[in-house]
Amino acid sequence: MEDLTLLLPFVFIFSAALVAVVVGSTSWLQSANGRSPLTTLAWLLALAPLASFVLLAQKIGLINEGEKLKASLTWLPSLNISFSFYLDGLSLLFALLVTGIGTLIIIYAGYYFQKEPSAWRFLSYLFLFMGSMLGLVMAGDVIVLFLFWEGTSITSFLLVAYKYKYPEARQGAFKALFITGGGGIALLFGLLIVAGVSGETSLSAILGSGDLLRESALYPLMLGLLALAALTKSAQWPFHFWLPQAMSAPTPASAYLHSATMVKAGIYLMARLNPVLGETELWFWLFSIVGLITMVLGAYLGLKQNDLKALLAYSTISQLGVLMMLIGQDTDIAFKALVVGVLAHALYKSALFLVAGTVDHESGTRDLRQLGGLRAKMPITAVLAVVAGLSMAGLPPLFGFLAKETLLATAVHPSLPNFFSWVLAAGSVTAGALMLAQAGVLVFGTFWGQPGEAATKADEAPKLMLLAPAIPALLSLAIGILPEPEFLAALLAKGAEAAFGDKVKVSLALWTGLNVPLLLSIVAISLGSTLFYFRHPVRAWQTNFAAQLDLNRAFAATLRGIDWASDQVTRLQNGRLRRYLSFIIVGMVGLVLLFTQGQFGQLLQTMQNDVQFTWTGSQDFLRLVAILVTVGAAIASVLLKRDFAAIVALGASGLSIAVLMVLEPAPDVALVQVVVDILSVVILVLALRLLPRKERQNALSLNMTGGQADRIRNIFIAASSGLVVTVITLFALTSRPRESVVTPFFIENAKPLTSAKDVVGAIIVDFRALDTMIEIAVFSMAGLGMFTLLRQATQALGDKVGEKRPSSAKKLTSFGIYGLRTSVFVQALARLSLPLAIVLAATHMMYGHDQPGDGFTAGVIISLAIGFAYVVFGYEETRARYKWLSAPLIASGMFVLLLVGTSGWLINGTFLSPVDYGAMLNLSLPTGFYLSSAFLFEVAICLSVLGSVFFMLNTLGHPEGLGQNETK
Amino acid sequence: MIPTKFLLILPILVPFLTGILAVLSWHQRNLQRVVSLTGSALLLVVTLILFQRIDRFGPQAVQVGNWQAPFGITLYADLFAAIMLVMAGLLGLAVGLYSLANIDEMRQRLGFYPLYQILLMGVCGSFLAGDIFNLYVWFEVMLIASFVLLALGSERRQLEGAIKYVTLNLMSSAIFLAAAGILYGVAGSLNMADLAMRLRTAPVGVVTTLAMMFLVAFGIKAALFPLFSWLPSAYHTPPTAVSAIFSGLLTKVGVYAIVRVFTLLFVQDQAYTQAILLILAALTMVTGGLGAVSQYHYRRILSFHITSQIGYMVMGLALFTPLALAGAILYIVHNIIAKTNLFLISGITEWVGGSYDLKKLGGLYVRQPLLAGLFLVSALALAGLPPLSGFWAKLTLIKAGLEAQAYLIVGTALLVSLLTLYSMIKIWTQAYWKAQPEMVERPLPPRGIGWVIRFAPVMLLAACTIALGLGAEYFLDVAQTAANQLLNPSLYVETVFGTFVGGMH
Repeated sequence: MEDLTLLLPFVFIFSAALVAVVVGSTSWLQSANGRSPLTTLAWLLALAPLASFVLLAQKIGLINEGEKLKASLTWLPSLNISFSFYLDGLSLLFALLVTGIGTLIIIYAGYYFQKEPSAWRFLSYLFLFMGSMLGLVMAGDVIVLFLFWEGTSITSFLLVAYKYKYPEARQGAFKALFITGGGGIALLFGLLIVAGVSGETSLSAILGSGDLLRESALYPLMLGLLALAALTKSAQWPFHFWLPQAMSAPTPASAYLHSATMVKAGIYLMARLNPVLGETELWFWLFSIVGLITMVLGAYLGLKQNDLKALLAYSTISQLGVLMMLIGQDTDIAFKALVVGVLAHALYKSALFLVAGTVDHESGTRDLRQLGGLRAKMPITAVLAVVAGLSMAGLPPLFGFLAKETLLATAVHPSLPNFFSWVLAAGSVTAGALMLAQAGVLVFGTFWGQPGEAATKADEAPKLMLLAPAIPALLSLAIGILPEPEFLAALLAKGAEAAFGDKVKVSLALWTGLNVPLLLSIVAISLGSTLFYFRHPVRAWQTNFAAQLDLNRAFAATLRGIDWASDQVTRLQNGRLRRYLSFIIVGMVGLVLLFTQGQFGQLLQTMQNDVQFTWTGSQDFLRLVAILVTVGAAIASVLLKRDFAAIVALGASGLSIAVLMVLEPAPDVALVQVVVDILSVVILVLALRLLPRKERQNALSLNMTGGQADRIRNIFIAASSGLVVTVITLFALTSRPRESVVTPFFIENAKPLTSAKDVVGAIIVDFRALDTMIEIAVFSMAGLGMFTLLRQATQALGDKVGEKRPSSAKKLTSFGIYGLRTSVFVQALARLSLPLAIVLAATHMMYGHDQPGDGFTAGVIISLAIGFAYVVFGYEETRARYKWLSAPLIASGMFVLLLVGTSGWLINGTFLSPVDYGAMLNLSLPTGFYLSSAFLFEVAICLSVLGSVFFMLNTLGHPEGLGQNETK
Repeated sequence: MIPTKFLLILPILVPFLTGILAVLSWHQRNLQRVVSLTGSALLLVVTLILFQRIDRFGPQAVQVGNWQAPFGITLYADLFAAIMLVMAGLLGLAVGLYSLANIDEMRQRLGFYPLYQILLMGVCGSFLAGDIFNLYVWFEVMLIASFVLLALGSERRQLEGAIKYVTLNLMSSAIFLAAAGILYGVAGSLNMADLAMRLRTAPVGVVTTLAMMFLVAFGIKAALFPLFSWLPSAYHTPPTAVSAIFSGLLTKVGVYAIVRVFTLLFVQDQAYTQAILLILAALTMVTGGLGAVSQYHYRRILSFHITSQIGYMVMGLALFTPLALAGAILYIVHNIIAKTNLFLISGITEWVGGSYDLKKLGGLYVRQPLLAGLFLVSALALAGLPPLSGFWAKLTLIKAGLEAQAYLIVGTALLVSLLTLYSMIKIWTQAYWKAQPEMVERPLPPRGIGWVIRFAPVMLLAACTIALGLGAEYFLDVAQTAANQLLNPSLYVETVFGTFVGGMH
């Protein structure tokens, strides 16, 4: 049945969280006038969970009639996920606990934090948790369930570390989050597999596909993952150890999260899925055994604790073990025991936690060794402790007794394997006895016996604060002694049925006649009383026994393992560039080789057949020489010890590549190669000048360090990468006839479409003008980059270039580079070379479209002339002589480009389309020269190159550059 | 209404013009700032219009200079490209605003703004490139601009990182160029649509070998295992604004290129390439996640996580189903926003706390609750907690993984998200919860204009993270459309050539 009122509790609770934040950020909480504002706030905010509780309680009638309520909002239709809620007996039972106990906790927290105005944060986290927990148990879609599940993890993280200044609180919170977060991941994985198998994420669909799920091949995987989630969340062995550490949370949070609600999320999950995943061998053994171990272990460890909350935490673990074990069973009585256990435990345990909190709050300690005899000072608290303690001990006439009776009845159920029934019964009796003993230790140790030092300063808590533990404690009693409340029994039955998948009869009568469970119960009580009587020696023995066995060590070891793995990974990241390069090269070679999978030899074979070398005379001779020079010079650049010589060798290598290009014949490309090569040698040499001599020698010696093995490895890496690339290239180019699509088009259409005889020119400034435009940006940025990077060095030395020219009209001295006087003849040559270069460059640009040559070459030619001037005249004079050389040059180049492109758009409707302005304006121009976008393109390129080179020379040629002192 | 063929060029032209204007106003620092911010805002507007256009009318292509494909250069934008462009616009604005306060005067004088704009141009160009060589050129733009930005300021450790960055990325360029050259030799064309058709008849062996070369070249850019070493060496060294824009955009351009070529060009030997991609994805996730664990430096932790999360994106590609690709796209979007924001937050944390070292930070939870809250939102989103953006991306990927029965990668992905949570919690407890180690109380920075400039972009991005989570349906829907377009190469070819092309699968 659709019922949108199911959404209201969420509205209430999340609004309360918001209100807490809003009020918290005002100054209202600071104004302390007698009555604490935080207490008032808590009372007001408690209305939200109370209203939710009432609203949900009204549904009991419907649910008891067998109705299932749903509320659904669209969320992610494309993944078939809806934001939906689902309420049946099981959900309602948990939802009532969440809102009911939640109300009391909020009120209690109002008193607990009476003196802390900043505790609005706590209230707000608590409401966020409450909403998440409620969402978890009412989720109608597994994704919604996961959402709220993670919500409880995060909010409990914030709550556990509420006193975040204490390292233990942070550690406890981290541990809880890491373990339950890990479980959350398993949950998502498991739920998605379940949803994948059943085809839908909605809970009702999944609940209807039990056979499909159980028969799926993935059943063990999904069960394993979901169990992992449930076992971590519900603190089952071997993951239980996070719970005692989470006790660093303020007590109201512990009472709520770690007894009544969050730790039961795992129980809820498995109970929810039992009808579709349960009733298999794997299910039975998994949960029976884990539950049994947890039950006994928790009870055993609880007895030896001195901290009240730690004791309660372990007894909670034990109780959770009981519940988990019950889920493993396949009998109706087990599910009766389950629902009774959930309710009974939630009531007495939250009461006891709140009692412990009150004791802590009033006396300042929770340590049993300092407590004792508080009965006189805190009579009401003592009474509540006794009532709840009796329920925990499983003594009649309290509700806890019924829980234990049904547990024992399950343990001796005839459907169990015989020997296991014995183990289960023995385990339950032992755990029951231990629980009784520790309930005794808790109550007696705190309120009776010698008054401890803490007892002197203690005082009874405010009456209204005691309301919170009183209600659940008294309910434990009331359900036991009052005539059976029909509606509650019916609701519990509905809950059990939802978990069991079949009819379950629930009666809340304590007395069911003299039977085996009762006898076992008597055994447990006598055993427990004996243990209590001998509690001092027993606890002393416990402290020393097997103290080494601590799963916290395993957890620490896990974290250390992660750290170790992290170290291994970061060790690869050792800061050495050479190693990184090796990774990359080896990675590439590896990927390629992996692909060829040993077919490399075969590849070579094919190539031998395909590649035919035929000697065609002098051209080939020249080619061979060029190749030899290229390779030889490249090798020399590596081997030569002097850096200057290495640079020259590199230049030689580049020039012989230009020779190869000329022979191709590709004069255009060769020309560019030549000028680029010269320019780069010039820049490198200038840059070399900036390096301090000492550093240069240092670098050289570094280069030669490293053992023989290193060198061989590096040679091997270099050679293999070279070989692989060569083979790939050869193979790729020979394995199929080369048939370019675009080359013939360019050759055919360069002239008719772009009026360029030079195909390369047409490609650069017309067909692929965009590439050129971007490359100009690259070049400009490179120039700018060099300038900015070297700038600081020169700026530190008091230079003002780029901001303002040197204003003083100093007499020009014509000292060349290194401050040496240059000969007049050379000076004359330098004066002449720039105008000449400009003329040469202009022709390059004007006729670049028809002849080899282009704007780039033009720019470099002018730049070289300027470089020459720097060498001859020195820095200052050059700067004074050529004032037009300045920063905006590079921008102007790019700007012209942009204008050219835009003009194409304005005139032809397409960005960067070619335009012949000369023809448009009917200008008469020299033959072969077109005033077109192509020409302007060349000009722009030239400007940018000039601008960049200016930047480079300017910084590199600066007389006060780095290392100048050494070179003098 | 702007004609589509011009609209497609605008994401390139706007930052280009802005960059030029910034250079022209070289001596007026304030003018540069105004120009740069206006340009960034304009870029966001342009990309949003483009996104809306493509969302409505489908993929668009334009032939630059009107040279018919495959002879000229084609710009192409499908929904995936449009999404990435919007991301570039969004980050350009957010980080651009942040940089006004974060970048010191010296760096501003030395050309930060022109470089920043040219970087954005390179990023946008890469997303639009419909030509493999053109893509190479865009990569060069990004490389030169990013290198200078990285080194700008010339602090010693900055230069150290920058040298590694530029060397390894030049390696990538070299491999890319070699591969593009060989590809041209094999197929005789550079236009991607044309190549998509031609490579289907080319010998499988050669094509897959080339695919591996491209994978290495782009893998270096994307910081895939084992090619990522440059990233953790460099990203923590420059000013935060620079780290932030790098972390948000640069590696994602690499991922974008991988996705593009492996959905359009190299689809012949899918079994092999998918296996390789899956293995690389898993190793990348794990090594990145583990690498972060032992770090105690705020930005180094974040840097390692960049790598880790690249693994998730590649996982989506490797699974090669519509849902998986949609997951990858969603993951990219989520990650760009969340990760950039975390970097920005690290910058504010340094600003108020005085350090990036977690051991020296502390106590910011009380002193800067807003900052702490903003961190928590982004950090939990990064760790993939519902209902924040990261969860839906992760969920989609995992669902796709389960449908493809790739349980191992799903398990890895989930386990690594625990590692992410681990690191984020570490930052949280160390920087925000733990008490401040030194007793010297740093005075809180004044709530002036500097405060607003720093917090406004962080809040904007946090709002985007939340919106991505809450509006997951819409974003998932868009991502699915984008994924379907990617998986339909003939759509690409038809859009570029303007005609129906049969015979493609």
